Amino acid sequence: MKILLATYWLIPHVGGVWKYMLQIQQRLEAMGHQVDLLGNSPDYSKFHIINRGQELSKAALRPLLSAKLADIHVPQLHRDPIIHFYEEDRYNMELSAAYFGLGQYDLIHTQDIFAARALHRVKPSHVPLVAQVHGSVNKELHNHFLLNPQLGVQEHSPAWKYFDSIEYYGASSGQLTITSTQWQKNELVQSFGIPEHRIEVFQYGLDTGPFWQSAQHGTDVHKPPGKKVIIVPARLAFVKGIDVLISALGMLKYMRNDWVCWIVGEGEMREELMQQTAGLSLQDDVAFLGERRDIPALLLQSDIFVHSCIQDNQPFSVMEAQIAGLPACVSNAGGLPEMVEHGVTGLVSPVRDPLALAQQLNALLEDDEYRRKLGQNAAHWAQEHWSMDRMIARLLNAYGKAAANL
Amino acid sequence: MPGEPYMVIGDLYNRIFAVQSSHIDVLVDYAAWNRIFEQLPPNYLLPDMEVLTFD
Repeated sequence: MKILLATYWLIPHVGGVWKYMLQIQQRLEAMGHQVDLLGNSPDYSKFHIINRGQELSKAALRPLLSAKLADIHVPQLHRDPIIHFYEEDRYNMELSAAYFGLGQYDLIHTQDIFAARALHRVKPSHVPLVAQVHGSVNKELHNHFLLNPQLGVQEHSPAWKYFDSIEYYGASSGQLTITSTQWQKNELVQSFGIPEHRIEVFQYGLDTGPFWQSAQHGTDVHKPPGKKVIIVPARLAFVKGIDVLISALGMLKYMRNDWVCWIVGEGEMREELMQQTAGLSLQDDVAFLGERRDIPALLLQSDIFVHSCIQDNQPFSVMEAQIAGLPACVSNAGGLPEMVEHGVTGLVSPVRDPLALAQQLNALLEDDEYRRKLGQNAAHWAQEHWSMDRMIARLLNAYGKAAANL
Repeated sequence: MPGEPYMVIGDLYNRIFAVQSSHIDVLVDYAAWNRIFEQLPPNYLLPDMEVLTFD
């Protein structure tokens, strides 16, 4: 088969979607399939099929789109700058995909709602489309609007309703919709009315070979003597809830000081989080390590993994921590309770509850045997649950179903 | 000049726009737009009014 994996988001990227696309590409190509990767370029200047070196600059499209879709002709597009931004860029993706030619593919597998809607609109009718939903764009944006009232976007605002609309049309664009958690499936059925029989649920897989190879290369970051390491690999974005963890660490410091925290990642909240850290006098306890390629080696030096997010589906960071044998302290957001069994492979706390998280961290630091036992359970569970072979078999089965649903 | 794109009036591609308007001053790369135009489904329209109609 010739398969197109497509995302509206940037490729290459450090995020989980890109890693997921690469893993699928490698596995499917090893089985004799051809796989192309389409996405936005890292500087947003073009869409490209990165593995073939094919590209179309948005500069070739923008003048005509701007003229024909001007406010005077299409006022609906200009009701809010955020609507205009996402719609115009999605139209760039549609025209770019047409330019590259979608008729050459046996199947298209999109990785987000924007790509799903875009390619659904321009693909030939004989090419099946599988729409994978990794998370909820509208929930993330609605949270953003609620927490930034200065933007003036409320439930009746066009920008708010737009994200409901694009989420619905995107998620229902395929012959089949795939997601990795029951939580996400329930969201799609209950909030967006996607028919249940059109949604397939199976968990991600993780190729452990590259993980252990990377771990063997080691790291130049070392655990301070006499301290245990709490590690948080995450984008420094509001949705990741790192401010909740820092609040929890402020409380933990009153309980004990046999720990340090490594925050691994970059993002728009870096300054704010560093200020919060300084405000709680945690500068010597919390290290912002930035984006790093040695996360497997860092995990192997660590003792506890934390993901205190506001909303997430099935993050790779939790999977990697479990493979490394770390107990995970996670919030009960989204699909996380399906990944971590409370008291067995880690500890689960309510979303945005720093006190509960501080108490859980204290309990794990206090009892070495308990902490190691949860870590061993996590490693055992990860080996079974995150099997890449199993995921690829399920994915090919889903491709077959989508083709049959045409 | 070799490699210089052959430019044509963008109005040639008016068929894909829901609101017909004339912009004779907007020129586009013929090779790129013709290739796009040939590949688009016959009922393709911009903007995507289904998504934009949410009131």
